[in-house]
Amino acid sequence: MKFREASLLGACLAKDYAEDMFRLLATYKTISSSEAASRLSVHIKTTQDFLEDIRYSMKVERIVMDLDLSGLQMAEEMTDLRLKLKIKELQHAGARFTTARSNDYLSSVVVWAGSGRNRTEKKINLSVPQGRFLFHLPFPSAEPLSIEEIMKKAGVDRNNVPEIVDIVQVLIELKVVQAA
Amino acid sequence: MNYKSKIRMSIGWVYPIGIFMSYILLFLEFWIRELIKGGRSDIRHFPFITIILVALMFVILGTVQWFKYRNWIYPVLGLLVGIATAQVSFIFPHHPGTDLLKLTYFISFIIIILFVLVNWNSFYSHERFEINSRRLFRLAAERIFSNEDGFTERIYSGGRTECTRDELLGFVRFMHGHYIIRPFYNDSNVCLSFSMNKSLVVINEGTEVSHVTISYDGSVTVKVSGSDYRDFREKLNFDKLCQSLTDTFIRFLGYYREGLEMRILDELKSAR
Repeated sequence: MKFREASLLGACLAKDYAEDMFRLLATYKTISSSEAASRLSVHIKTTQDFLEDIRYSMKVERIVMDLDLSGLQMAEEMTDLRLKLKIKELQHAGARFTTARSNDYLSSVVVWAGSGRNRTEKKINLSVPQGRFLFHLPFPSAEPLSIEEIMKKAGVDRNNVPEIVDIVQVLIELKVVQAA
Repeated sequence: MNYKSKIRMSIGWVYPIGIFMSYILLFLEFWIRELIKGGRSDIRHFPFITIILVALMFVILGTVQWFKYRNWIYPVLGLLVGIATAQVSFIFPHHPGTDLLKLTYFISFIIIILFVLVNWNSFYSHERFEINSRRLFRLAAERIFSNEDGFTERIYSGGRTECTRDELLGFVRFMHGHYIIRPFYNDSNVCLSFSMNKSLVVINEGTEVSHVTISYDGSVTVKVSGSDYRDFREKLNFDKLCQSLTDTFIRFLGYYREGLEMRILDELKSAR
């Protein structure tokens, strides 16, 4: 590897959000820069620059540096127990769900935190499998369903399990989804 | 059987109640004026207080209807009727006003009639849409007895139905022709809008109010707006309400396919 390429890659890996970005790349089958930006709360231009650099560097970097990115994937294995977690939307979650034009999946979730001048808005752009999954999430007054059941209902492929579990965890943390 | 409606009273009912109350107030004011008049000639025998209160009632109700329906014809009509009501004393016998004042009352009266005639289509369509939307919600809520709230802004995935594109479009035309829903045609689906609040006459997109969307491939989704949900006296189980609306529309579509369209109207009228 030429020094110029190595320094570019080194600068890229030194970013604060590099590990999280790699985690997303390893977790999601495909992810757009807007989805990654909304997920990590960084500017979309920053994400685009980062992904462009990586795309440029990845071809050589994995062989020379032998950096195993798969280790950054979800810490826990996707066991059956995990998919059996029963969930539903939390009552009065205060989130805004935007439906895609085709009317069969959600395109984003907006959550507000804090109050007054400190009120912040967090918008999460959803991938299509995540959007389909959340479209079929039980209502707050309905009986909770397991992640597996919702995936089946929504017709989401099993290959998308990591990103589904990821978004469920995020929404549980943001108090939008309730685990039974 | 409990005949008490699960939905709050429509604001339109305030008009007859208000007018009836105004007659009571009118006689009361006449009586009080007669009582205190005695030999004094400075107290006129006209019910000014009642007239002003009734005029204010029309203006206020028109404004309230603007906030509820977002339809400009109501505040304008309220203002016109309020002005005409305020002038009503001019045509009382023994009123000291000139003929010009009497003329202004009749001009106001004619303006109201012209305004209603010009906007008759909006008035008629709005009233029919609102009445049928109320019936639709009553019908859907008829057999829901659990009050667990659970309102969410999300769209409810109701299920699927079997029908051809032509059958669906015919059904939508029937429902629109009877002012039950207002349709919005999209590339892959039809959005059937209904509302107890924002007027269906003024909306530009079906998603602005409560709606049921039926795709040409048969999938059905439901969205109940927050303002419509708040019109229920009790916080009904939202999940069941959405499912009940889905079932109602799928049942109506089934009636249409079997050539039993009149059952749709019968069911709507029977809703309590």
